[in-house]
Amino acid sequence: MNLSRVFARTIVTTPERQQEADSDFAIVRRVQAGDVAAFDQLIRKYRERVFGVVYNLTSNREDSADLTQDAFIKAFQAINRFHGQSSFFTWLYKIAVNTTLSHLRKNRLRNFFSLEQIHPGSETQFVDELADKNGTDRGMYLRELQEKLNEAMQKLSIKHRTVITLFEIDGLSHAEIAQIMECSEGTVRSRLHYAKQFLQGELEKYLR
Amino acid sequence: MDHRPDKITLEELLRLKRAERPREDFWVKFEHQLREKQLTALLERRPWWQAMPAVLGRRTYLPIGATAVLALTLVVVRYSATAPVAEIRENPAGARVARLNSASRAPRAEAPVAAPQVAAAPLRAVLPLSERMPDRTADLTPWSAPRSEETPSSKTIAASLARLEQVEPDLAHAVRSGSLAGASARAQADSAQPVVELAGYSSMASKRSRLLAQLDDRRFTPEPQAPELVRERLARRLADSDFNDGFGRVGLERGGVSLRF
Repeated sequence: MNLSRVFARTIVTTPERQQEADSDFAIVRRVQAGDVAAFDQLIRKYRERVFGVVYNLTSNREDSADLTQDAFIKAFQAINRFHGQSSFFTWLYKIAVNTTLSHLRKNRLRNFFSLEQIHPGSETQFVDELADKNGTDRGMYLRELQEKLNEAMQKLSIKHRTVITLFEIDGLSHAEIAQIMECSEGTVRSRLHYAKQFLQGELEKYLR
Repeated sequence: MDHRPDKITLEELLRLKRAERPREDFWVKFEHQLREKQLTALLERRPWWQAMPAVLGRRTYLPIGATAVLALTLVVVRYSATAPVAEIRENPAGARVARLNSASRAPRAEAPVAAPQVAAAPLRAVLPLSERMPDRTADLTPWSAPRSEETPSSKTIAASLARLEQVEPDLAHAVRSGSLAGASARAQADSAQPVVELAGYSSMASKRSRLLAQLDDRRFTPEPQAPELVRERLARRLADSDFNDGFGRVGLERGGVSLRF
């Protein structure tokens, strides 16, 4: 095991993540050996997570679909350069985030929402309770919350938006975000703190 | 009684974003489009500069780069080391002086770097000065009186010989036709090589040879009437290595020999 793999193990802390990283690396080895079809396993495994990151950064479902596909294509073309320095999903996230940031910088002025529907589940239970308590229609209340949240997110800078997306929505650790964004963990914490303060100021009406 | 407040936290609100997911039919279309893009990417020819990171990233290319740097360093070192040699070859006189110097001073192992600098200077400056007389450099310049010029001593000697010829013609004839050749031959044997070759001798030998050469230049022509005894003594003394270290200039003045220290 080379040093880069040892370093990757220090980044991937939890045992579940480590097990996942090892199984991913085995698939990557197969792709590198010429088994192109093995890459489909990685696509199916990570397409929703990658799409979620891109979508939360752009707030546009059509752009997100294109950017996610581009990220997978880039990862496929560069698969021979992956030597296990990090976990595969961190590497894939890095490609997706960089592709998205490049797209956002190019289309800074063209910014409009195309939001996905919110699926009912455990994350939306508090919305039902709040709508009942306030006597408002659930669907309308949920739609209002979604729009306000996406508006506030888009007011953040790209870097702050990326940090809060990866930490609060995708649940990555500070170390993983630092590796993806190529900055220190202190910078990640600082950006996260600023982004939260900004969002609390923007969504003060809905927050306790 | 409902204890839940009518507002939520930021973390709860952000978790709402996780619920924003596309429907299942979206993924069917997504996978189809991705397959098309993947095939297009496989078929299209990538520009050469996109392959550069992969090419440069290969570990096998590192030794090639190191070899190239090493070869370049060797070339630079080689050409920078041969530059002074080329300079010497461009100046044959300087090269000769340097060769003579190195031959005569082999035990002292003088630095070869000084050769081109010495070669560029006039030959007189190339001659090594006596280490024991560093402050008399100016006095060591050769005395070059014109040969045809009559010095006071030669006039006196000529007058004495004229008187001797009147009184004792035989003796005067013997003096005039006296064998100065013996002293001349001995002095010539003791004298040094031509001035140019003096450059290769040590400081003491070169000074002695130079002084003898000066004597050889004007021994016979300007003052043919000089007494043979004086010349013999002079030649003998000048040939003495212990003697000639102490003076810097030799001259004939008013019938005598003058030495300047």
